[in-house]
Amino acid sequence: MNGNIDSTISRILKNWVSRHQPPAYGRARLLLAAADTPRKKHNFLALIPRTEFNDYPIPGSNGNEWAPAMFTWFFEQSFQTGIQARV
Amino acid sequence: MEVCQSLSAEREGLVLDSDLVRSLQTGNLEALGVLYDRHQRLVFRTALAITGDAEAAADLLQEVFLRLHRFASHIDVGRPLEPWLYRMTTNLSYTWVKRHNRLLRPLEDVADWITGNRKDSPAVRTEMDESWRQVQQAISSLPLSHRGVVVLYYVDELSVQEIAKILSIPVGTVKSRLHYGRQALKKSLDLSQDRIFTELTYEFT
Repeated sequence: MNGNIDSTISRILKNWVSRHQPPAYGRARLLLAAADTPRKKHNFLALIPRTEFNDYPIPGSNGNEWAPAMFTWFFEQSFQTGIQARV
Repeated sequence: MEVCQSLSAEREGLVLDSDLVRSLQTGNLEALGVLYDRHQRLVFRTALAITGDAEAAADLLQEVFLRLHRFASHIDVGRPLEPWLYRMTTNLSYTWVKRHNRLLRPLEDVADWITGNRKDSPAVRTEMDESWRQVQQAISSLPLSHRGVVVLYYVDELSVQEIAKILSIPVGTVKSRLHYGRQALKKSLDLSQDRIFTELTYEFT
């Protein structure tokens, strides 16, 4: 039962997205933008254990709010490298 | 996934993704172009299916590959590239949808109300085919987390295990979101009543 439904949903959704194509100028636009974008090198400072998270100050925060600050930092770092954060 | 890709690439005499990423890590933009040509459809269709907006999908397509270029040095060439692309695409698409819902949609609604250009007006209706609009609405009505799973499963044909790895969630969660998404789509697309979308279910090529 699910097999039939699955294949029908799959066909509908594929046909829906196939109505649009990636932009024809996309490659040139990308290479132009990439040429202007600085590449991120390994940040070895990030390897040093940090007990404070001054990069992400939380308004009205005090020393007891290190947990949300750590979560924010972890989420940002993992997002940038394409790894989803799970804390 | 990676084994099949490596074998087919070797058979066809193509440069492997890992070699291209290695080349990109040294700053070779031509490698980025080849990777773009190879994977642009994957990224575009995933972004389009999650956002439901072709212009946004085109922008996200560029953003994903710009990040690939920017963070190339962080990518492990020992691992396949496609899961990284799927992960980045879904994350950026989620961000776009959240931002759009929070900031832009209310403004669009006000603008439509002021100009009298309602979305359900006859002019807009004729412009956008009713059936496809129904499909888009069905997808958009799914919660974001369910939408990602549904898109990766039905559009990208990934297995439940692959989706779990990409989204970093347990297999059981993927299955439950898929079940919920399936039921919701079945209902909103009216698939349970033997109503066949002949115009929508033609064979995909």
